[in-house]
Amino acid sequence: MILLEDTWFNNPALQKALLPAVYETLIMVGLSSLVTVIIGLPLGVVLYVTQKGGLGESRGVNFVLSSIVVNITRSIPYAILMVALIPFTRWLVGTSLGPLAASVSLAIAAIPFFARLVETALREVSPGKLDAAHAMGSTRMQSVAKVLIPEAMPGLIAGVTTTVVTIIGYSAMAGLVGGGGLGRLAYNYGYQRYQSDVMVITVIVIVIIVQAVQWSGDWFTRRVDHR
Amino acid sequence: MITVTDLTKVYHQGRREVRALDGVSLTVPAGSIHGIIGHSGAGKSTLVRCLTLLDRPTAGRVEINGVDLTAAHDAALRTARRRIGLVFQQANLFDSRTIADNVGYPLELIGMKKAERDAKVAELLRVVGLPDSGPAYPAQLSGGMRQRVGIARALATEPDVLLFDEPTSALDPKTTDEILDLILSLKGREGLAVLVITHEMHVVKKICDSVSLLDDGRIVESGPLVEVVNSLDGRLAEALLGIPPHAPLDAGSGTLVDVLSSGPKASTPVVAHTSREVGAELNIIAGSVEHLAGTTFSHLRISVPPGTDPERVVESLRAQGADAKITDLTPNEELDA
Repeated sequence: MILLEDTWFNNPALQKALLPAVYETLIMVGLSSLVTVIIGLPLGVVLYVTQKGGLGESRGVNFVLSSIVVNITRSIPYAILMVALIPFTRWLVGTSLGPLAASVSLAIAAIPFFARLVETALREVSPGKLDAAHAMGSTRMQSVAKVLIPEAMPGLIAGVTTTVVTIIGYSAMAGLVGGGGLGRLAYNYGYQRYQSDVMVITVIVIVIIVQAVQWSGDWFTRRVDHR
Repeated sequence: MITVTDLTKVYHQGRREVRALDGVSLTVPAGSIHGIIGHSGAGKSTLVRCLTLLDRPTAGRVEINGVDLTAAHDAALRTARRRIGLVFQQANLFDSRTIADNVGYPLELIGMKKAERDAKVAELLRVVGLPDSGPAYPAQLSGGMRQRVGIARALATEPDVLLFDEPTSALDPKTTDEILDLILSLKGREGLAVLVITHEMHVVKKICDSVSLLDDGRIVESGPLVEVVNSLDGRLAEALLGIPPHAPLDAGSGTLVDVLSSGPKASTPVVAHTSREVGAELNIIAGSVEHLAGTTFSHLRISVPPGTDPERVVESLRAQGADAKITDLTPNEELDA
């Protein structure tokens, strides 16, 4: 027990670095999730409405966005994407280090992923409801804003939850190349210095964060689901 | 009043042309209920989509009180669409909105103030018999109740035409009758023409003043219910007042004669009278008696024994004011509508 206490609770890496690391991770995840939803939601809506037979069918737009932008971004492994984006990140936020910089590559990786989830959630809305909206004289914008998105809300919130959980996973990786956060803590101390306690505690904290996100996501989904 | 002229819709499936609608014309005056009946594939769904301009017809016009919908685009079309209230088979309510907000949706679109909207929604929910369901969500309601909400929503903008697309096809018989009673009760609403598209004869029998038969994209028969039924040859008559399909088709060695009588004559014993007159025992082997649009119709199939001239039987029946003909039971006798 004494041995355990010595190494597990008196480790300065945990005492001094754990809280800042949690904070950095939350900043990274929060910021990139926010940007992902702000850009990914409209992108998903555009993917949905421009598809064949959609409200605003446009083969050109759909091809460029779906087959080029989304599919190519999604094909690049995140480990490569985050390195490749360093010059862009430097241009955008002035540095490639820290949680703010890491959020750039996290958001760029997550936007197409989330946009696909949005597209899928919108497809779940029965076409009859859109017919009804149309027949009552809705404009396209009204159909999207007043019918399509509210009707898809449970699926959209579930999509946000999945995306945030995925971003948490990627944020550990982003931590390695300068993003900071729990990923870097686990790597620097847990892996490189063989401090298993840091590794275990970090993993536990990440598991708790993921659970919290999933539970609140599920709770919100239930709240808006009147089906 | 809705007037449809020469409505045509051609789809392209690859290189193949499909004429889903082929010159459909019809008129439904305000205050009346017109039924359009047809089996699946006859073009019913296409007709609904073209009437509401959800799909643009290839040719032809849809006029509501003289305003041509097919000529309208964008904003004008959206305004014109509000002149048609559409009720779907599956209600198509918005699950994310309460019943009150569903009914209020078309009013929201025209920018009606909340207080005014609430009053209007409450009135509409009373009309369809759901005064207390406003705060509920669609998922909490039964199919019949959801259909009532669909009707309230369609009535919200006070349309000139109410278009029902298979309104009772997803409902059980009891609920169907309740919804049909509701539709009948709307008949008196000022200036409202009702068009019901269905494959159910029961619906036509119960609520329609006039009926059209849609087959292969064309209207093949049309007219007031009492007229189309009063015929021994028409397909609508056969469908609405047909001999039950499982009636014995074999008359033994006798000849089959079909007898149609309507109005007061439907309740006089014409067959018994003819039986005495020709001195033969005429056997009624099948029949149907219906009360349609306030008139009783009776369609009987009798077997004339060998040795009696069936022509004499027919003559005697006609002399009593009934319609009669010798039935030639070839296959395809039964109507598929």
